[in-house]
Amino acid sequence: MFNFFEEIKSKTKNQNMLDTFQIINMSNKILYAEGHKGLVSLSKELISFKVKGGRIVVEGEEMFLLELTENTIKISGKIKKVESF
Amino acid sequence: MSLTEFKIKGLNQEKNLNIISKKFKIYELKRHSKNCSSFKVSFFKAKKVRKLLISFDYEILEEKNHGILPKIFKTFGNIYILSAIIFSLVIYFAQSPIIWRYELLGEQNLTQAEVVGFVKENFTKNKFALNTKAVEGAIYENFEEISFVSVIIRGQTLIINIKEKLLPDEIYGDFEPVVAEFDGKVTNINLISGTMNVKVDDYVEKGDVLVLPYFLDGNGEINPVKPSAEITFEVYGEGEVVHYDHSTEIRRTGNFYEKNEVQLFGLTIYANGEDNNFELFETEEEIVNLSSTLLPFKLKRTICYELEEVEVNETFEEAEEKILFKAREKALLNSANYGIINDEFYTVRHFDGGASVNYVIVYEKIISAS
Repeated sequence: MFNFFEEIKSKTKNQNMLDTFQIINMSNKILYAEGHKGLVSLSKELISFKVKGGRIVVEGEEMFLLELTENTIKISGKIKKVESF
Repeated sequence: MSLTEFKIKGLNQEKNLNIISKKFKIYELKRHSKNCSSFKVSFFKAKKVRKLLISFDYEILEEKNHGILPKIFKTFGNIYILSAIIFSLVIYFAQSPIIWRYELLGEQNLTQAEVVGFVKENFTKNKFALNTKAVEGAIYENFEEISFVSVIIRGQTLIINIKEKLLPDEIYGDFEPVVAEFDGKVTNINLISGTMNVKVDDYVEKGDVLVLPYFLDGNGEINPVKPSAEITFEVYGEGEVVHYDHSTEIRRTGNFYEKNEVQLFGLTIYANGEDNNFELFETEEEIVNLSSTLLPFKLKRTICYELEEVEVNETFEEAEEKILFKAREKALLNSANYGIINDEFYTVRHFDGGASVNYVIVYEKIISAS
């Protein structure tokens, strides 16, 4: 079965550096992340979650979590900015 | 998908939601205010999630179910009712392929038991496995009386529609012999089927067997058959009149009395007329309902005729013509439904003081049994 992230990894030389987390932003409406380490804050305007070696902060409007599992997160809303710290 | 939505109030929500998300998938997690948020989990995990939320000291502001399953569970919450429904459904689906009823249409000589019995014996009761074309073919092959057959399954009923051939009646049933309906002499026989029990010139009496309901084949075996024949008889109608040279006749003199009575419930309430003074007489009565009145009044009319005894002296020769006529009339009366008159004759027997005449009419009568 085709896996988007596995496909990219297979075409990258240093694959070890890609084993932390993956994020995909779909038209600034849905943001999907794999490999998160826990939700840090949640509000309509800001959602942040921990990843290996840092934190991801998503800013936007009317945001909420479409799905939250142990290692995946799916954010929906009007996404304005995604920052990694 | 059926989900349960929780609206909770409490502190450290991110931390505890992370704990919940490690065990259960969370959907549509929304933050309404600093201490208030809502999310959905699978309907089947709701119980465990509620337990967790309580252990985190969260206040559950709202718990709402979405989807069909929660509604079903709410409606049929009672485990016994739900079990009964499931059991009924299982039974229903288990028995639904079975043909429970067989219906035969268009039978005339064949019986339901014969045709349906054959189908039950030779074919499955599973309507999905049953090939109706095969049933049609088998019925057609096994019942020579059938000229057309169609088999359909409607619900759990197998409907067999047949059309029977026009076979001769002698194939069916038990047969009665042909018997004589009157006394007579057999003059001609035209046997169609069966075995003759009489021959030409035999005299038969009413009730005698004429044609037997079987025939013997080349092997001497008896084969039942409906007897059929056209048998011609010579039948005799007799009439006898006795004449005495000296006799007494009783005649009406012409005198009579008439009496009218009006009756109600059998009681005479009014009478009009003279009383009877005749020594020798005969009476005639007539009762008429007076329907013009409301009560059941009846009018009884009695007429008394005076009689006299007259001595008659007449020899046979003098009265012969009259006696023969009377004897012939009697003979005709005794020949009910007579057919073609072939012959008629009479015999006269004289005795002391008189004579008797026996008149015989010979006619032809045909018994046609088919």
